[in-house]
Amino acid sequence: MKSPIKLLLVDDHTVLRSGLRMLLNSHKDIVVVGEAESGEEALEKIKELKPDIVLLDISMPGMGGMTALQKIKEISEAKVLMLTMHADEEYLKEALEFGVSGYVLKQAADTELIQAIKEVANGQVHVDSGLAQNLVKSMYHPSKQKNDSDSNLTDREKEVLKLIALGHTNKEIAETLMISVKTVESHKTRIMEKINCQKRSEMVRYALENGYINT
Amino acid sequence: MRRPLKILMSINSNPFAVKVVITVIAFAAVSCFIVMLELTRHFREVMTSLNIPKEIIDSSIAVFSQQLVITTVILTIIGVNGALLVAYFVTKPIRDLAEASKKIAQGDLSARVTTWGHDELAKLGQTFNQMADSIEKFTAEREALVKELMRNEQTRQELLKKVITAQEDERIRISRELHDETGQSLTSLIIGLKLLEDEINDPKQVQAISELRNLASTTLKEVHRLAVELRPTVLDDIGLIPAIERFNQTYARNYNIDIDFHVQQKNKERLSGEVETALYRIVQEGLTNIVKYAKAKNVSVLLDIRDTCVKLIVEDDGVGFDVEKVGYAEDRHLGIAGMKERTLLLNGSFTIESSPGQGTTIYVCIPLQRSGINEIANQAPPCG
Repeated sequence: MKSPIKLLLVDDHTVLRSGLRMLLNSHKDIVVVGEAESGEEALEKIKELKPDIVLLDISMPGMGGMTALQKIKEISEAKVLMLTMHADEEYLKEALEFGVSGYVLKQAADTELIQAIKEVANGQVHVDSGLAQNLVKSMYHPSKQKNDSDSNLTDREKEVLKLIALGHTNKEIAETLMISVKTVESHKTRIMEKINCQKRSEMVRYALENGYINT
Repeated sequence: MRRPLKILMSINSNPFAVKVVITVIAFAAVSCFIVMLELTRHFREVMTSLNIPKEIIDSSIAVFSQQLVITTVILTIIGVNGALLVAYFVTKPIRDLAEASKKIAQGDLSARVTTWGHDELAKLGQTFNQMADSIEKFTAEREALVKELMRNEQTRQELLKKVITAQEDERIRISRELHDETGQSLTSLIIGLKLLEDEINDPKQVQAISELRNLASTTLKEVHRLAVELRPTVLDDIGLIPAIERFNQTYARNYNIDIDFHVQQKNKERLSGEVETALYRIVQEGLTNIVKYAKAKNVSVLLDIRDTCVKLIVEDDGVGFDVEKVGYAEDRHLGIAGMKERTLLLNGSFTIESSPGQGTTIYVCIPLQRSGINEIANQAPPCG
């Protein structure tokens, strides 16, 4: 018979901790060996109790979850499972960089948590499915069709493009080149047609890629 | 040939009175000469008729003419000098007035003229002095008004800053409270209900508890959404760029517009909280306006973080509007004024360019004062 998973609960909310303790202890292969209400306390308890998994909240007074995660990974072998309200992939990204093994939202604690604990104990990684999807999406940047660098821009259009990419207003461009604002607008429209784009951001990228401005 | 011309020119540049006097004296001298010639001729006739010898007549005329020429020359010289002296005194009040006017025009409002007697020039001088008094008084009043206006503007800015800070602080507090307290309590509730559900065998009760748990779960999600809307924790915990990214994603999804976010950043160091908050709120307001009015398909959000300043540009390809013609009470105007105020409070510049059919572009530029490069920042020309 496999020994039960030793788990340390770290959350500043007492009622939540006791609820979690009851929920987790009701599963026979999980045992809550201790509780802590801050990052500092968690580090002490880990040295003392040597849990297999640390269930860690992110927002806590004193040392927060992210800092605690880094320190835990420095001092112990324990796997860390984040249990948090933060449904932003940025937090997930940061936690993954610091070596987290799982990331579960409190919004899904009732349905996902037990499964996640078991998977993490088995050496797998468990990440909230919605968040994982967002993370993957945010990492995928489809390379916009590369514009032909020889797009027949006239010298004047190249000047206008450069000034637009540097973030100048139409009025400033008009003053610099001693032309009217209307003329700047029509140059801009023509440049967008020629390099085949609909947005200012794409013009800036085009200007960067083709060396009109430096990064 | 040149000398007389020069003298004529110099007469022309002399005061008016001198010109008159010199002209009169010149006429007098010429008349004198003509009279002398006439007298000489007459004298010769009379003498000839009296049979006085020609030699005597000639010598008398020669002596007489010589004396007359000398007298004329001396009298002319005395006359010219006298005339110059008189001209100097007559024109002095006028020259004084001209001098004082010049001083006033150059900004010395204390310039006055001294008047003598009761003639027209003295009256002109008195009127001039009265006018100068009025100008001095009005200028002092205007300066006092400007000073007061500037003081009021400063107070207004400080109050505004306080209001904005207070509003942000309150949002942070409520958002944190919702997140940490309400959220935790709801999570506890969900877990408690789950526990109860697992322990109970009656299917009816299990069903009821399960429904309650779902309700609590939905509420938790709502609370989370509300907290993010008030003030996203990402903005404080992680940074401006991910916060704007998240906001754009939500907006793009909810309103079906294409928002492209492009960041150029030399320095990965985080901006100050004030600047980050201002830029985030400006993006928020800008996108809200776009959804409300622009009917745009494409939106660009550009953030260019340099050493000395940060530039934010929000551009759409929507219907645009006439910037000059937005009514002051309109929502849109208030939105624009809000963005502008936030920028100005951080010594930045705010520009909005739009015209019907041309889309709208908002340019924000905020100077940065980072540790270590303060001096460079101070030397750099103002953002704009």
